[in-house]
Amino acid sequence: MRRRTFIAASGFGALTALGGCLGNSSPPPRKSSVVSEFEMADGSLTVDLADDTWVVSRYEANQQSLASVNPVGVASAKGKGGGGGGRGATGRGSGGYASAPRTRYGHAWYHGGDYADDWYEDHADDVSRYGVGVAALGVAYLGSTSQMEDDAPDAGPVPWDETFQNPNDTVQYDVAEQSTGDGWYRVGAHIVGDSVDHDFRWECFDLEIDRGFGGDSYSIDEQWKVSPRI
Amino acid sequence: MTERRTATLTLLVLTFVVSFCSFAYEFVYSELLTVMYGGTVTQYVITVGLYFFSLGIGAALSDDLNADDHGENFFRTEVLLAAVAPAGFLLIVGLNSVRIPQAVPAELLWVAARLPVVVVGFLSGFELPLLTHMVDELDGESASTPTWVRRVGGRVHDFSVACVGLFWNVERNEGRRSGLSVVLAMDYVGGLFGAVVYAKLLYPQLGLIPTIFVLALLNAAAALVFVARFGDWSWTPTSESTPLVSHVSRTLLVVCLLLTASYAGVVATHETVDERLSELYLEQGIENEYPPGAMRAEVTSQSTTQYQHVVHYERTWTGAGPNPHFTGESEQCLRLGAAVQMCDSWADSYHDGLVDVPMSMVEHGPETKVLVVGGGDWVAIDHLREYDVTVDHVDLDAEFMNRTKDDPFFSRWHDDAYEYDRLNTTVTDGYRYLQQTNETYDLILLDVPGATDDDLLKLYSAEFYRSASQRLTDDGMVVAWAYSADSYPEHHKAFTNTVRAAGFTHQLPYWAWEDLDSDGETERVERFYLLAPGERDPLAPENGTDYVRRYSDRYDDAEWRPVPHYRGVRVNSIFHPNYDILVDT
Repeated sequence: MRRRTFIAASGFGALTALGGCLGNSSPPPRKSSVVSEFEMADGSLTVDLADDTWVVSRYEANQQSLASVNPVGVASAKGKGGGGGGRGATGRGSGGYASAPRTRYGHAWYHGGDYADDWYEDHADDVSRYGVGVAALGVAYLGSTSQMEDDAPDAGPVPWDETFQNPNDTVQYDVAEQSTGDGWYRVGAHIVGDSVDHDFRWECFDLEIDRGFGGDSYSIDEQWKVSPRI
Repeated sequence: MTERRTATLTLLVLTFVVSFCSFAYEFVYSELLTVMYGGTVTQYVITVGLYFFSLGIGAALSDDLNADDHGENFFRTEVLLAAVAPAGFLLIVGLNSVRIPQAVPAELLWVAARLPVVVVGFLSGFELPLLTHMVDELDGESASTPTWVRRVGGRVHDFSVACVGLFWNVERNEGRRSGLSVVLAMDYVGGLFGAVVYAKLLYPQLGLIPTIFVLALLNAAAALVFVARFGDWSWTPTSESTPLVSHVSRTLLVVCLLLTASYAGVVATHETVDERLSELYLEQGIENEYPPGAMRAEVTSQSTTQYQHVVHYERTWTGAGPNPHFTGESEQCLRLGAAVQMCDSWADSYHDGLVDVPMSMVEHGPETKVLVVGGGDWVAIDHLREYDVTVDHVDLDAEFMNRTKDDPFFSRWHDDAYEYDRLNTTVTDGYRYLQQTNETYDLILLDVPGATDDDLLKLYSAEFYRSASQRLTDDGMVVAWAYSADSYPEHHKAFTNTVRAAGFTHQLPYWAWEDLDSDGETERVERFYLLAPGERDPLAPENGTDYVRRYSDRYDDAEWRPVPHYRGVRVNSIFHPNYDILVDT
């Protein structure tokens, strides 16, 4: 290679590599198994919880006996609106909406991106898999498809329209009876450790529910798993 | 001969000026990138690294420039620098102002934001070789170096040789100095002056926006002086047969004249330009935090203290549906830098969370001692006054504290709380105060800015929290507001591991609640953590303050939990900072 070509090429390569190294080093979304299936039938959304619910986390469990485990509250699931912009989380940082995780819908989702496998391989010693229970399950209407493309909420809980405490294997939510109709819904599961006293917060799923031409038949067009970064 | 000396001196002065500008450009970019992306050390180190790398590339490729026309290439380089440097500045601002499609990878944005650094470095890389060639072309020892330069250089040389001789065997070389050595010397001197003048005069006196235009004006003026002095129409031609600039593109000359005139205009009205551009940037940044078209922001005033940029603005809901953020269409807000501090709709509820919730867990009365770190707006003091407790208050920014005493935006929230008779205010750094004081407190309230800047790293360090932990009474607690674990996961994990390493074993997370938009529903306002270095009594809403009783159903589930530990996440320490604790960097 000619010397000057080499210099120019190495310059471009160095800048690109620096961009790759320094541009975004966020850990990927965490892996989990909480919901096995969503199904729409007769205007009702059925959420099937997984038989074996677990989550992968960097949380390091304390050496505690099961007897000391207390139930974890679900206060953060309550309320509606989500705040108008307090300090900190809702605006004190200069990030906010503009710096939300950048995926198609502004979310992180399961295995989100090519870098996830590499990250998990590199950090195998830092993560553990924990069995979890579902303390609560919430459902909320997020908005129409165009609204979601413009304003997708972050990973995590949103103000739920309906909350189901300590749900069993399946939960049913009647979409047809809601005034909201078709569009995007978020289903969130508040997960807590089975054998560790830890609140693993929420695993969420965004579903695009479409109403057919007749107006009576609903179907799930798209679904995304929205996980917090590990 | 005298004419040649003057010509050489002119070239050396131009070397000084262009070097001054080149270094100062990079400092402007470093600071701008820090303002935009945070992380002072990261931005300065990367900028300096890229700058020197690009200088090297430019210098290496300068051999390929036409050897018969060094003068015109130098002129072209300076005009390009004068045009590109402010454009690069505006590019970086633009990248942080306009809505970038989410499909654009973050890595691409990172590269785009550093392109101005690289381009300015690359163009600057041409300067030294071109100037060296031209100085050499002027030929001859006596011609190439003016007498006074040689005299001063000789003294410096003598002194340097004497110093070097203390450790090495030296033999003073009386030989001729090359063009490279004098140009290089002037380049370094120009760089030093660029650094000092930028740090002591331009940045503190003018600010970033006027500074970039002052530098570009200098660059454009240098180009004009060069072409006027060394062009073939020069009134003092350096050579009867071969002027340094044998041909100048008229278009380039017109561009240079236009740039010079434009920049002179901008510099003459720099205060207006600075204010207007700042407003545009701030307003765009605020609006971008909401869906497109949902919120309009209008900056009503801005000022700067020694420590903070204070911005008052009005936000107006322009969305299609009902306003979910506050009651009515508009409200007043305040930001320090880019970080929001207070809005009318949640000023009260934020301080309810900071003060009235933890006050449910301590005795009311003068025996209870509370330390407030930060809180220069006095609103937290006003809430504490309700409980008749003894308050020590520590804040760094006396200028801001004085302004907020009479500012109508603040005074309706603090109700002259600075006159509270059990209040003892100290103007000092909160970290230093905690290190030095012997007092112990039942409550320490951290009403500090967000972790957006390197300067604030120590307020989020293990050392700071350890000091706070050591200044607690046996049942004492620390209260801090917190970023969302979902929106800022890396910060959250670093923060959690840091407070744990500082000795806090238990935490009680809770929200502040209020019906912000008067829709009849209670909404979350802010996340807080109570932190303690041991077990504490539970929060009992039925025995709580008026605020806690009003929202008792929201606090029924609040309980103390162990502070978790996350593997692979480093503690933030003053001497070993974990920059993950900074948000949005």
